[in-house]
Amino acid sequence: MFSGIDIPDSVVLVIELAIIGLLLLGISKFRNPPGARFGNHAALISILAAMALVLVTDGSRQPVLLAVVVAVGLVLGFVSAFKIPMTQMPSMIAIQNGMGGLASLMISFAELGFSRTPVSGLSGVGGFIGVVLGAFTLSGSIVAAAKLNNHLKNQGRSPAINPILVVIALAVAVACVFAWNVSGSLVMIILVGLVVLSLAMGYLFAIRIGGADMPVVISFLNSASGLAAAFTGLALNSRLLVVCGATVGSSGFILTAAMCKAMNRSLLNIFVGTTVASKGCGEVKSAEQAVSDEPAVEDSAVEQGAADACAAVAAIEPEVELTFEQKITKVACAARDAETVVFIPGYGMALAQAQFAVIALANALEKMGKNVLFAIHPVAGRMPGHMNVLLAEADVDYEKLIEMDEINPKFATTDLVFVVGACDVVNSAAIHKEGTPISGMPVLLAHEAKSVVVCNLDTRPGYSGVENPLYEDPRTVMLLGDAKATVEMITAAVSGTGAA
Amino acid sequence: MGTEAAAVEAITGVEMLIMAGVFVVASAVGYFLISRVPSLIHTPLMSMTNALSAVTILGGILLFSKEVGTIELVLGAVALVAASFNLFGGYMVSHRMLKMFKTKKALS
Repeated sequence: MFSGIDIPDSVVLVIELAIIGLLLLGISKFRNPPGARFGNHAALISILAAMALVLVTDGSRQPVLLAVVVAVGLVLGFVSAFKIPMTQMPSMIAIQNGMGGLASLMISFAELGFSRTPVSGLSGVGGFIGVVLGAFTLSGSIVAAAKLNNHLKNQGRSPAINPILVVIALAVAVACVFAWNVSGSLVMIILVGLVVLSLAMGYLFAIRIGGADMPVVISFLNSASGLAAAFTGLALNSRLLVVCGATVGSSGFILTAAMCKAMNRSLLNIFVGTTVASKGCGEVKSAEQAVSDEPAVEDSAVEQGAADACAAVAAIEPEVELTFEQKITKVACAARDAETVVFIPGYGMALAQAQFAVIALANALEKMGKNVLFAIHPVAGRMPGHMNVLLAEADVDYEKLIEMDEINPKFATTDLVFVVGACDVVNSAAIHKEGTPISGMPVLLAHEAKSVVVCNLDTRPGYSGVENPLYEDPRTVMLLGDAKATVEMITAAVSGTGAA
Repeated sequence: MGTEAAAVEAITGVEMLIMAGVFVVASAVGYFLISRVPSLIHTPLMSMTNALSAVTILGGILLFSKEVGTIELVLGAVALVAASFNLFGGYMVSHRMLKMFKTKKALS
């Protein structure tokens, strides 16, 4: 045991402001990857400094236990962070989120349930909300992580229970607020009831949302974990907790709103809507199953002289259905003639583990002097920004990863577009058709390009269930099957014709 | 806000308003800063803010600074393991992801 050092309040305040300043500086550096690396270090240092400050001012009665439990968390955190593959990042972040919620739940619970002084005022309200949000984040995040790992299937049932539970829990919380000078045992009963209700709420919230809505769920839980910390901060009267928590709450809110907008759905619609999430494109079969469907590669098609092959394929009547090999040749010829090529990756690409094959093709085209870019839709992947991470891992120059708003005007002058494992994000029905679930949803304007190649597993509509007119377009070449094998064949054909 | 302030004791009244103010200002500043982050690094941003939400670790440290019973000690220990996992794990996954983002110069 060691007791705290008596530091004047004004000095503590100055140190706190310095810590908050460093934190905000760090966040403000999140403009590009090098800045973000600094920002990430700055955020960690701020929290470590805050921990040191609290230890110095308040001391500790259990210094050994404190060191041990923090070390256990540190080791578990580091080990899991190093082991997790990038495709599993959304579920890792969901688990970390849930742990943040658990911490807020435990602290708020201890503060309210065992406080020597009566629970009152803003700190009392904050504590109750901290308990509710912490428990909600915990169960919601665990369910989300399990679903992302395919341990749990989507369940479309119980649509109406969710809002009713929210209302009940809020009513209980409000009742607590008005009766905050209740006796100890009653506080405990109310707290336990709130925890059970909130855990159920989190479970029901996450269990019936799935597939393409996952980015919204993850962002929302991120926001909730931040707010849980902020309200716990109100219970403890800690400025640092309130500032950090509120910042995270804002961040999660911004990402949630961005995801909702990109998916053309309101938050309310996702929470209480009765739409059952179906499988997204490319998710219908596992990659292993898909490989067996893949047509055999014929080396002769590659070895043919470039001009001969292109002329031969071009000579085929448009009414005649091309064989898979002829399509590959046609695509390779189009790629050779193209000046600008844009890749549109979707989550199907990650499922087929095709990102490295895609990058190999992109690099081959770039070596031939073509302008190659990647168009990233905001909801490509299973959490905000996920696709960028997957491509960065495969060593793409991040300056070639272009956001939707920036790349859309460029499609009209693009010669060739490769769609790999994406469907709803290139569905032009969103623009041209009224009354579909995706009408008005912002999409990548692939249909404006001169020609389009679609490397998807099948022609089934994506999550929205709306048929994609792009698949029927005469300028589109459909290469169905395992995207990884297909892209590798195109690369071989492009390199072959290029060398000939 | 006003009615709530009147309902509680005078000592907490001012502090309460300050805390409410801190909450509002922090939310606004956070909103302003984070809405300018490009979608390119939204995933590392999220894991970094995730790590920040582990700031409840301060609550665990505070709990251990007081004279408390066994149940509170257990609650605090669970909170500290969870928060520490969240803090260091979140920092490390952000760092791992951000290290992967390279430009052409760095790649070649």
